[in-house]
Amino acid sequence: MTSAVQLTAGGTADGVVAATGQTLFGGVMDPMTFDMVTVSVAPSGRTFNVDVAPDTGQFATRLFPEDFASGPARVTLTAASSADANVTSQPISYEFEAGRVVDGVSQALSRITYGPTADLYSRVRTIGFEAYVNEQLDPDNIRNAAFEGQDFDSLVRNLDNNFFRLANAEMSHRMAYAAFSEKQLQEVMGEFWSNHFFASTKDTQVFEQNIIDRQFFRDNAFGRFEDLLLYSARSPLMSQFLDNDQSRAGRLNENYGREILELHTVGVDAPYGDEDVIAVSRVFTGWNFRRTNPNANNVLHDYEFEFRADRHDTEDKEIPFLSTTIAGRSGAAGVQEGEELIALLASNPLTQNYVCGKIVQRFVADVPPANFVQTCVDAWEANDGDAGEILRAVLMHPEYISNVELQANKAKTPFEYAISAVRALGARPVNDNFFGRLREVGRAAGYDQLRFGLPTGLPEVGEAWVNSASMIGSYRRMTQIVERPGEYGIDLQGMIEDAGVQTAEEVAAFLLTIGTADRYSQEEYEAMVDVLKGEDGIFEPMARNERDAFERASGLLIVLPSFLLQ
Amino acid sequence: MTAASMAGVAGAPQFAFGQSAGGKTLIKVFMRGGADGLHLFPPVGDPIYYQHRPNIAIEAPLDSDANTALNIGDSYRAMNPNLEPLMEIWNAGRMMVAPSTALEEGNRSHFDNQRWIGNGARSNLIDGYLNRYMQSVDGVNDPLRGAVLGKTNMSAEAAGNIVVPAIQDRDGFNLRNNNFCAGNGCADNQLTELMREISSHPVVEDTMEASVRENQVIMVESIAQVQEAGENYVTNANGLEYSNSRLGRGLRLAAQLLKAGVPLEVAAIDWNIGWDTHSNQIPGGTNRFADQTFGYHRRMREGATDFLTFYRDISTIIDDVVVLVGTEFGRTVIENGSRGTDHGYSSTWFAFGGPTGPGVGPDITTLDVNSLYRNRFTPIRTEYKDLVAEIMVRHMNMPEQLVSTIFPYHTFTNHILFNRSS
Repeated sequence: MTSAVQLTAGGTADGVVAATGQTLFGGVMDPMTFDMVTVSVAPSGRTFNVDVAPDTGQFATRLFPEDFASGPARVTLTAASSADANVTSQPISYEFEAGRVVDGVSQALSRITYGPTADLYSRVRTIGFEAYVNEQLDPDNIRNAAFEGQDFDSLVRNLDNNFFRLANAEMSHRMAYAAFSEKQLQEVMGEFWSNHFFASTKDTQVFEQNIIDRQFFRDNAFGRFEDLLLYSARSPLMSQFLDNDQSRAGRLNENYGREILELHTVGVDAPYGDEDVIAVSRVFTGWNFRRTNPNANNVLHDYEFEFRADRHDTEDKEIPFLSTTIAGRSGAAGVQEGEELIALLASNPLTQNYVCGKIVQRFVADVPPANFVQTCVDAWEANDGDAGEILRAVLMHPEYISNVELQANKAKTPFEYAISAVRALGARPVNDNFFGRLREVGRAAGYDQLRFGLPTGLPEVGEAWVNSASMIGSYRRMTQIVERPGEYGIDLQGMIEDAGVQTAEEVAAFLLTIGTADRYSQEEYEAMVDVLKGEDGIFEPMARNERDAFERASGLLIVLPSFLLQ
Repeated sequence: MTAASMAGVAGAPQFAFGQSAGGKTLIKVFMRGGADGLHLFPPVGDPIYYQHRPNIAIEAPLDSDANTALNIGDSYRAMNPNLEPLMEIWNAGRMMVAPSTALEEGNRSHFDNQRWIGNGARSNLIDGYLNRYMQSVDGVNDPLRGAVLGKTNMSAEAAGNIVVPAIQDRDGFNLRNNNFCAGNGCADNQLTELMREISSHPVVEDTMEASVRENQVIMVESIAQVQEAGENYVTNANGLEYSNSRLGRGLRLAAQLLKAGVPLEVAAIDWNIGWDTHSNQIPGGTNRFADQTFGYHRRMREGATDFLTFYRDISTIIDDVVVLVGTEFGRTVIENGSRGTDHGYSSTWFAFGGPTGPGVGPDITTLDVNSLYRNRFTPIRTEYKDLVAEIMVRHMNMPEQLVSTIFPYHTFTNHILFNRSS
């Protein structure tokens, strides 16, 4: 410290701060005398007092985009005493310019993870965007011992043949991976594929395949598209979901034949017609499944893919829009027709374009920008549909972290909302009921991965979830969780002690930064400071029990507009 | 908080009647999945129907047999026995069936057709037609002028520039946090007040942030209205109660709001019973068309009962409310190999209430393969846009020249199906 009051962090050496808003930290030399700092911001004309931490002398304040509306902002700090208005320090002033901070930290934490945690936020700040992306694309070398030590796979072990219990267990299992695994991008991409090749149990006993298929897409999140497509075509879950098990030569069911085109590969805008759908459906006649433990009672039914040559249409199939004819085959060779068609569809430019549109929609913007789709298609072409290399190309596109219009331009799905709250608040499964209410956060908003009935999968675009009924459903359930911090292992007192922050302004900035990947508004910040200080205007977590203040803070955080953005 | 205290939201007076006379309501019910029109209102007068559907065609009405179709006084069409509760509305002369209705430019994709029907054109770029209606006529400035009822996701019909709430049911449509409550029963809900304050701050328009904030404000305001509307509500349907399905919840909410005088003009509700009947459209057994242990039948009857409950519940204002029920497409005329039907073209839409005239609208006369669309699907006799447009013009008093705004590129054909004088 060289003067009575000064800033210690925030902005570059040249006085440039993030145009989206930046927290400034400072200290006073003599906190016994000066227990607050008067902050004046010009030309926006804001003047207010912030608390000084009694033991460390630290304080915090924040500049917002509004402060730079007409150019640089001048911040003047005067240390003062709440006991005596005449006791003030020499004022000290700083000049700040708003600039574009292209570090990608917010983008990385919002899009390739299920949201920042306090630890991950500091870590990505330290190692940087590119290093984090590369690390995440190499999941085999990610240290994940803490997660593995908790053995969340036990949630889906030893299940009986009951869909209700299985669906709850698998939902908890998915939430555990999303919330606590360090392999975040693998989890995000696994969810993407599982939703792209969406299937759910439909009036059958094909239950466990929900778990098996999700695990496959997790393990192969960075795999080749053709392998994923072939896997889904052979999945008993898919077969019963889209009625392919009902389809046979002469008694065709066109459901799967249509959706493999419309939803899994070339997309609905591709120039196929009813004749193509029928031909594709004929190719897949006989693709079926069989139970492998038919004599075991009261246990989960196990199934595996089975090609039934007796149900297969052995004629040639002309597929006009692909300008190709799949030669008909009889006997066991009939299955090769579908494999051939899958290879053709997987490498078709229409497929690359359609699936890239969805990948870009997931990671970049709800309306996929054409240049990103092109980057994705090029990477697909160059890497034989390798999803890891496709992702690397999309995420490393220079505009991804530099174009401000691509930041905070998406909304969380109810699942992402629930998991991001767990991560931001440091909730932990301290008891067996941890996942019960958490599952309801999504379900109350109409988001239920295991019971959803449409082959489109759950919508990714924000407009599907940003509506009052969906929001109120998840807000209510998440509110019930944050009202019970003890039951969910939420310990904000511990978090702020670890982070070394304690005044209302410091804690508000800290919680909001973790909750929103450092993108929040002035009114959200002011409301957070207010609820921490409460009715008496005092927030002193080191001196008294501030449990109510922390509960209000987490209650507010989860309903803030910025918390719903990603 | 009362509804009256919200007057002045967005700086406009609460009541600002303009071009629209107000006081009229259109409730659009969507059967998602592609409901089989030939199954809902079977063409029992056509012998070819029985050739095309040897397993699943419903037999012609026979009073003594509950396993046959119901007589609606038409030589070609009858009613599915599971829709029997609708007969009360039909017999009162307040129901209309348009058995060959489609989006003319549609295709065979659920998702495209649902979206395009919602948008009112084969376009992905425009708002929903109910939203465009609200934008085009001056209506009451109220957060519940339009709503999606009974479910949690937005419907394409209602989505757009004027943000409307989606409300699943009254009990769930509230938000309290013990740490932000004061007064008896959280009379002073500081959480929703804080949310309103934060979200009311202007931000850059047409961004996701703006959309989140706008929806939060609508949510907080609709909460107050919905809570108030339900306070003194009782279902008054001569012993019937609504089911807890999306349809039942949606209609019940609509009744609550309408009976409380909320100026609801347009509402979107879903009726999903598993309409996408690719396989096993009927069970086995002797009672295969009406067996109530079969989910498809049971849920169909449950839905028909919900419609009747609503019809009775709002009987004092039935002249002011039209319910229009439709789907994205019908199904293949010829049954498939698994006693089901695949995606088709036109299907049966129906309506009741308000000026809905009685009877069967424009229909096909034969299922001969050569008269089918692409030899597989029932052809179109009524464009769904004309049904909606006629309701908007005749029931809601919308000037006819606005039809081309609600449905771009569309030329209105008046089928005179909503011609009852009240």
